[in-house]
Amino acid sequence: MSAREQPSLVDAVADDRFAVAVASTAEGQRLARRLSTIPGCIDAVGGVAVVECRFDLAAVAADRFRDDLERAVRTHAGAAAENNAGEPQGSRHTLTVRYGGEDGPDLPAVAKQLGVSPDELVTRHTNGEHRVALLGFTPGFAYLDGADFGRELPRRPNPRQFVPAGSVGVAGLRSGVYALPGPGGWQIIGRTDAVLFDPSAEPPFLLSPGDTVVFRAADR
Amino acid sequence: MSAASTSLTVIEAGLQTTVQAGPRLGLRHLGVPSAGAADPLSLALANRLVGNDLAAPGLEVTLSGMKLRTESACSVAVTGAACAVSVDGQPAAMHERLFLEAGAEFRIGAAETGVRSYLAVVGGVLVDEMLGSRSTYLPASLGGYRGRALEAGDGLVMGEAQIAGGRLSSGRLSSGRLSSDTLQTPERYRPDFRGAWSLRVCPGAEFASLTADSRERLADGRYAVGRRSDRMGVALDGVVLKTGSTGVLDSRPVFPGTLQCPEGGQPLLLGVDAQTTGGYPRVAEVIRADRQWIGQLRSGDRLRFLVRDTRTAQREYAETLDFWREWLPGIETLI
Repeated sequence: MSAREQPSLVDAVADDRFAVAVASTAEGQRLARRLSTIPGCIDAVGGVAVVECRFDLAAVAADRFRDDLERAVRTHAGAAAENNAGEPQGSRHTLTVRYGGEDGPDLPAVAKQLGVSPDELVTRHTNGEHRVALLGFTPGFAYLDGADFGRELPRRPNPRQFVPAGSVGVAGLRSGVYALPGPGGWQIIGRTDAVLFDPSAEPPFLLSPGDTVVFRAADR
Repeated sequence: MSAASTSLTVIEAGLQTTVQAGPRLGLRHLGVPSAGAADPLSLALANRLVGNDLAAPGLEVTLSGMKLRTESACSVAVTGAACAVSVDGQPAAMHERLFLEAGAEFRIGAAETGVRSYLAVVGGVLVDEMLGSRSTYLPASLGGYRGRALEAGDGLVMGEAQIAGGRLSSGRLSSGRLSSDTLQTPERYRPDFRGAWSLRVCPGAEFASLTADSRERLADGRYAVGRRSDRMGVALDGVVLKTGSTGVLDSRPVFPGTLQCPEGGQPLLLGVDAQTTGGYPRVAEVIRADRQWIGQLRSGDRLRFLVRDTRTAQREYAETLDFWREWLPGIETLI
């Protein structure tokens, strides 16, 4: 195993936000948890290859926060290199999806972009295991690694104003599941009835980072 | 909450009226947006007039106005988007504490400038806290009044302070006039949403992905607020911003105030209900001192951006707080 890239880059990306580059999404999730404890930190959000910290300008000076942030990032990188801790074991979920048609209006277009038939696309999507990389975008929206597309897929040039809850989208090398209705820019290939966010449940989110998801095509 | 009786009944709910308070903070890593008043400054101004905590839950009334009936005496105040206010058909003022008797019909008219008017009621609107805030986030049916926009017939319950504030003579109300001891927002603290905006921005994380032309246009361009405008964000017309990106960008964190640039070139300025991550280049960020104005950007309004470095923006935020704190002590929890 090669030496882990030290996440060392701290950049101001707004008047009250710093970005930290990370080597992997999983690494970002772990680092975000640590950074969220820095005094004055409002939100520490892991994206792909980056963690961003919004801090409270009214509570802490920007220079002070930046110093604390850099120190925390360095400490975390050192600890990570020592431990190289295995990722926590997640839960496993099977989501039944109605592919194509009204539920997956972009399925033909995506198949065309990949040069395969719609059926072949569904087969590829249901064959493998997908791993929840992170939650984001809206409550419960799960970004999933592990799709077998073979190439990066574009987003829609303009986002849709309304995507129904349960929609399964694709973009880049990822799949994503819309837990809630709302606007969205991913290409939609299908839809599941699984409830991904239930504010009255504890925990309110079905999926967590590290979980495994298998898609199953609904009987037609 | 179940023991308390209804204090206000919704007669007409209007286009979109929600209960909003302070933002839902610290949960963006789980995909939970901030929500809260789209113009938190105006909510604070309304709460100030009725003696509430600045972040107490009030009603955010969108564009079309609304109508309520009081079931018990209470004091209220309306701020935000300019609108006609009336009590039993008699004109009343914005930015003033109004005393209402039980049985009064209280009307908030359509927004004339700006988008969102705020109604504060003494004691605040009593709703449960969910995931750390009492504010409504509609897409997830989260918080506020049953997680949804108000509908005709809904009954709202006021918080504890109701009794102290509502014990008032009927004379003040029936005249439709306000007595001299009535609390008003001082003139200099009344925002004026005239429809021509200058918002200060810092270059965003993907500012460099803009083409050279577009980098210039970001600051020089004259934008118009587009038709798509909601709590999640407003689309901007009039200036096309192009990036070298293919539109495929790994998902990155976004926040209220982020200016995203989809491949189509029409910039999208994110509001309080903004999603937590997004895949479009983030070309600019509205500075904290100006974010509260995003919630008042109205379709057709003119808009330009003034580019700031982060240090200047931080100083300007401190100046903004200095100004508002005099009338609104504690406003830093909302703006």
